[in-house]
Amino acid sequence: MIYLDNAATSWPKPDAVCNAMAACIKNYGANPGRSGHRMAIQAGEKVYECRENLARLFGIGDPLRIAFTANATEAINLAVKGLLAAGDHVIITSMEHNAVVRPLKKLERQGVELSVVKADSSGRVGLAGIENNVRSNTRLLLVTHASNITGTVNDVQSIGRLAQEHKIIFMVDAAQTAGKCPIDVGLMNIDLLAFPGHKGLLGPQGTGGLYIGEGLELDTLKEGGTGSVSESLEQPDFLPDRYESGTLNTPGIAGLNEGVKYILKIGVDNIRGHEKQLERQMRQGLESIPAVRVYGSNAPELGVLSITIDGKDCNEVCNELDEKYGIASRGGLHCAGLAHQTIGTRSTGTIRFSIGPFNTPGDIDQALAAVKTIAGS
Amino acid sequence: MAYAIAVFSSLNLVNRVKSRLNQGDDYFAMIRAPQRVAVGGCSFALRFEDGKLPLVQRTAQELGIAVNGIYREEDQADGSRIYIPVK
Repeated sequence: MIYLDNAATSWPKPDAVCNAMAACIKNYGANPGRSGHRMAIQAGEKVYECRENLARLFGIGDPLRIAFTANATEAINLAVKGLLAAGDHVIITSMEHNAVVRPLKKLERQGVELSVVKADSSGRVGLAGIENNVRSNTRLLLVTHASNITGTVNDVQSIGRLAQEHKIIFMVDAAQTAGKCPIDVGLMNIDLLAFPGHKGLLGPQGTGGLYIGEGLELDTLKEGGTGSVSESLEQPDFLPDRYESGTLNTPGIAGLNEGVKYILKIGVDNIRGHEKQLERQMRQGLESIPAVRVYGSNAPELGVLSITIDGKDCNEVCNELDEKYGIASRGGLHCAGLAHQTIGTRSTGTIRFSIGPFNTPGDIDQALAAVKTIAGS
Repeated sequence: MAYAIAVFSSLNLVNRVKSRLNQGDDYFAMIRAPQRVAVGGCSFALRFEDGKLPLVQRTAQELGIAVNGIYREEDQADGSRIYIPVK
């Protein structure tokens, strides 16, 4: 299989990820933060080690300000539902994933005001568009770091500076960029950072997290046992316990820890450089096929490419790529109808190829050959 | 050798302090806090040679993490152990 669906979930994972998960389940798969026996202590130490490595990767000073979640969607829900109340105003972009749009549409029905800043046809959002939407009650600016459709990367450092100037809480959805683009919450003025564990961080599905900046207090999304202050009938008021009720996904976090260690060892810039090189190869090949239209930025950014083929249904093309050529891609609207509307593909959807750190130039050559044949070139 | 324990509200808080302390040459162990000194019902504690107490207190303070109680362990002739609060 040639796997070009890394924007949905990365595959394969480093061997160390698989081995760490198996070791956790086989050797110390106890409940972290509950019991005091050596297996439980080891499990707790592994969870903390992952917190520390994530903090290192994202420039976070205090690892305890990272709350583990099941995925980026849960992290986004925790952030926006824990922060916003009726009368608050929030600004997002038209390239957001449904993980952002849907919780906010629900909050809008409860009195939260929502503004959507339109991105350009490449999927990039400008500072002027954001600034024009700032109001006196704007509490949150929530921006995707990169589009899951076009791979267009937003300049979050400049956007973060703008948020700081206007004293607005700045949140970044790093679903596509965590582990693939440099992220430094201090440098970028990021107050809330939502990230999945199973994409660029190379961990397993069922992992993710939310960084909550100093001084921010969110309401809880769920309450329950935390292994701490058990006499109290109320939720703990300290992080991360406040937001981590119920048993954590320790095997998943052990795997995620190895994914993050792998990235720290190889280097985000090296991974991105490799993926951009392959994207350049693929983009040039696709643009040379007459029936193919490539969407998004003109230059390689994140290893994500969306195309349409004249006269072809995107999902039928993906099925053919899978069945005849053993190529994994994703067709349709990619859970981002608003973003497809922005780039003009709402009615057709696109075929998305998303490159990962383990793809090779040979993979791209084979994918291009398959697309050429399907497109009749 | 005499030992002391420093009790914290959760495993996460102990891990943060322990990780910082273990960057040095000494090793600080983590235990489930004995129930009779466990503030709030469920607590974890650092266990260490009592001479390291100032270092533990200073490190927790630097990290902004509250120590719920510090106790010196004292083994009794009948095999039991008591915990004497350290002010």
